Amino acid sequence: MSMLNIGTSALLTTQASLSTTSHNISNVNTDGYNRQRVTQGTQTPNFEGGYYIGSGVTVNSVERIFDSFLSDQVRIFTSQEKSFDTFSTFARQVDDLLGAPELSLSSGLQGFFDSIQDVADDPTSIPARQVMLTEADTLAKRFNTLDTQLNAFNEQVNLGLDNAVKDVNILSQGIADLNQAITEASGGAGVAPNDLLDQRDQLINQLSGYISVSTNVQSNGAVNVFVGNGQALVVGQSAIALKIITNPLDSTRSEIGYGPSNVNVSAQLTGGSIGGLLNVRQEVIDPARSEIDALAAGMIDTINAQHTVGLTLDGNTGGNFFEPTDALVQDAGSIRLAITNPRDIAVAFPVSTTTNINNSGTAQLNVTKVSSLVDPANAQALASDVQFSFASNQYTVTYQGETAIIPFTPGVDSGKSYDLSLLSFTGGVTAPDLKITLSGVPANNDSFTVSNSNNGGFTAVGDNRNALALGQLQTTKTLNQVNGVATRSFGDAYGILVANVATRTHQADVGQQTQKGLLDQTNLRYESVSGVNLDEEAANLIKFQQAYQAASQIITVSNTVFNSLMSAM
Amino acid sequence: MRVSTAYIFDQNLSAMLNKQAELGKTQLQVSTGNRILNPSDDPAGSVQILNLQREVSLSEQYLSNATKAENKQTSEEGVLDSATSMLQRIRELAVQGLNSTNTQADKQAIAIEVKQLNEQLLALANTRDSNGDYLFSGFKSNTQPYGTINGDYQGDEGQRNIKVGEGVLIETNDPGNRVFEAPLISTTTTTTLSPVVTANAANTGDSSVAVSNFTGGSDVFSETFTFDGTNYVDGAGALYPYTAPGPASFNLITPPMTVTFSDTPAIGDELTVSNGTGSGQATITVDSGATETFSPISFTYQAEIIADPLALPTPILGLPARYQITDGTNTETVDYVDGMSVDLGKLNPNFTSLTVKLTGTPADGDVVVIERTETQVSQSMFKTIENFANALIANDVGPNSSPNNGDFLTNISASLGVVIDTRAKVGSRLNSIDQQNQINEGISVGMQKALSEIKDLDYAEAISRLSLQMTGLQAAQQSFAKVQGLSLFNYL
Repeated sequence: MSMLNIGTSALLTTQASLSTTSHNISNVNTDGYNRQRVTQGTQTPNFEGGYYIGSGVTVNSVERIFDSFLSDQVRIFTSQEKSFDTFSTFARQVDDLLGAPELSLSSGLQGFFDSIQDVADDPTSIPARQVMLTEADTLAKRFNTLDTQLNAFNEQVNLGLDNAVKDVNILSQGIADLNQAITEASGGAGVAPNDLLDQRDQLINQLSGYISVSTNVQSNGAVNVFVGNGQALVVGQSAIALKIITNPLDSTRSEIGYGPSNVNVSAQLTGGSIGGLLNVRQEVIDPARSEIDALAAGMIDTINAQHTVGLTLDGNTGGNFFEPTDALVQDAGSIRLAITNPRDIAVAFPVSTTTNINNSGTAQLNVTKVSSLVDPANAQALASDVQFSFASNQYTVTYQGETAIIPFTPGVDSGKSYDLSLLSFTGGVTAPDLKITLSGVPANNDSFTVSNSNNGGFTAVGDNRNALALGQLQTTKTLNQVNGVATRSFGDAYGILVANVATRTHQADVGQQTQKGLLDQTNLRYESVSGVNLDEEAANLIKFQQAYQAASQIITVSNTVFNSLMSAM
Repeated sequence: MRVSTAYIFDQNLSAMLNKQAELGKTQLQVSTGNRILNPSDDPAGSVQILNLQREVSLSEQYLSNATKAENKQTSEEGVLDSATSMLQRIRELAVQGLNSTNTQADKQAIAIEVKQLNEQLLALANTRDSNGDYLFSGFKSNTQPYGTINGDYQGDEGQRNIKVGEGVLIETNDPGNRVFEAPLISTTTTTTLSPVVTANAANTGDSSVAVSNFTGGSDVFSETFTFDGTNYVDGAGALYPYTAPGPASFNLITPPMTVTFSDTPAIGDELTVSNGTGSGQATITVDSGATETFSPISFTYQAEIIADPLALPTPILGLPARYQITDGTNTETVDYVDGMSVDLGKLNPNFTSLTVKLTGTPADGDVVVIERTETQVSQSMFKTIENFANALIANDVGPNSSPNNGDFLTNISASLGVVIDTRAKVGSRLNSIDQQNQINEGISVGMQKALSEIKDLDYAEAISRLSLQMTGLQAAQQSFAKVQGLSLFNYL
């Protein structure tokens, strides 16, 4: 009797083992599947007076081989790897954009300034002027294109956030549903519904690809999921949805809202593709946009300031070269050429110098900079002629009938530059806004006159001084004021932008590779615990098959024993 | 450690994909020849590339600017070369024309040739470049610098600079008034009867007056100043306030001079300033036309002294009437005979070509001063040459012929000098351009090399890397296939 029972228990137990092994084999490629194992034990033995006789085997449980520490590690590294990966994908696009030769501002700037020098070489040449306009237009369009592209990246970030939040909400709901199923399945007996647990763990793993999560398992088997600073996504059987909201300060930016009042929690969310998107927007796309905008605004202001003080081929005020001039709307997207007629490029200076014909010294006076005009409408830089007369180691400067003194020791001061706007004239007359160089050795009573170039009609069409001044802006440091001193030229500013983006991209690449390595290692350890090994399962299959055959033999022997007993009767 | 079957598969697969990605990148590097495909491949290097490309491109622009500057300067040099030969020819003709052996007809023929050359010179000054811009009108490129021979310069003083290097600007034109205008020197010789001061013998005070800046030439005057206690009063009653001990200076209009009173006069003291109480005159009769200026030469007349051997306490030696001549260094005394000629070469070998005729009846102490001064103005050389040619036609060339006397040779030399100076400037600019070109080319080559080192692929390294990666990928594929074939199930 008992032999038959023992044989039966062995058959049943071995069948369970065979089933579990088959289950393992069949789920070898199932994502998130943790291998299972039958734990078996002896049945309660029968007391036969002086001793116990074993009564066979029974299935204690079917276990899920699972290490929650490794599982948490996998989630952490998944979040980080995914964050770096998303960051690097976007940063690489910005990097490609800035590095592309056909879009690069670097070559655009070079072409523009080269064309200015060509105009300086031949100030009356209309073709050279036309080329300069074309190059300036190309440069402005490159700014526009970069702006459009960076805006498109911003849109992609918004779209990415939108999709990610939708997925997160679906996953949260799935986890909440599984919480309910698991709570119900385990009932009061505490029997683990292994495959449901696998499914829930798999959903949490997927969730960690979107955002960093922390979990908390409840005694009833439900798991609570939190993000950011403890914002709960799943509590027991209910899920709380994240929502996309628009940044109140910038309608082009999406943010992530939480809770009934849609509090902006973007700053608190880290990790996963959402963290990566938010990071890349803050660290790469935003700085790149603001740098490009600052560069565009700087270009507009600097070039305009110089162009405005010059005279066109027709002797009019140069006016603005680039638009817009309103600082509030100046950016890479709005920069455009303000003039269309090549004759309107201001290549000449508004002042000219006349040396007195009777000068006997070797002195020369050169105007090196005109900072502003007194009468822009009529292209007049001066309210009257400025007379310079040398005697006994000083130049007497006469302007609007008033005088000022420049001490000048020939030989010692020869070649020095003077900013006339710093002179104080008698009668409180506003000084002319010019810079001049006084060179050579003047004789007593030598004199010079600086007057408006377009007095009595403009004929100094070969004057290229303003073009030279414009060309000089290529290498002059005009941007990024530090303590009132500009520290970057246009080219420098662009180079620094490229370097910043490239460095961040490079960092993200390296970071992504590191995290990938860590994730791989952790996965390896996790899989070495929970993964299915087919060879192992094959061996188990053989083992349990043999056990089954042996158990069958118990039944056979039990039958034989019973038959021989019957025949003996 | 046990491993899961699915994981082995995944790992092998992702390893193979990685190898493929690396291989793909190397392959792209090889096919483009660039080491850096994206700035992030080498952030520092890619910024260096941007900077180096900017430098290379700037150097190339400077080289292109230099070519234009060189063209402009070469054409200017050509013009100046022609101008130099024309001015030299004009000078030769002038020397020939000034030779007194020429007949009037010869001089006219020479003058006509000079005028023709002058026209050609004018045409040179109005040369245009290939853009139709005038070379010599400063910034006023569309304005003809000299309309006519006698016209004034119409351009301005603008000098256009071309940038041929960082901070290196080369001037590419010279305004016409610095090329075709030269100092015009004209010398004038003046004779002055110098004022002399005589104090009244009856003066009781200590009074004196000094005379300076007399410009009255040979006009004779005499002016007496009487002190009235607060003023000196002249003959016409004009007052000159004076407080002892002075000095006090007054500029007089007639006669044109400055008087300076000093010391402590007594009331009623008289001071007389006068010149030429006699009628002595000095006239230059021979002048080679040499343009050297000289400092004043004074002729002081001393009246005849009649011998009186019986005079007491010492007998008086007789001396004839005579002029003492001095140029401040050498002194010579000549006995005076009305109408005599004095060769100043005796006084100073520098004055060989100057002879002075002395006439009239001077008074004792009269001083005649001869002086040659120079005035200098700037004038276009066309006008100078034209005036000379006209003077040559009018046969009005020589000492004291105004304008354009013998000074013409000096002036044409000065004009030639200005043109040659300008040529030298052009030459030195061309030289600077050459040197700057070498610098720019050097920079360009150096930068290109640096650029290539950063940017370009090391092919040997890349190809060997490529083959290594190919081998690696192949090995991964083969081992994957082999390892995947191993399973215990094969034996069940």
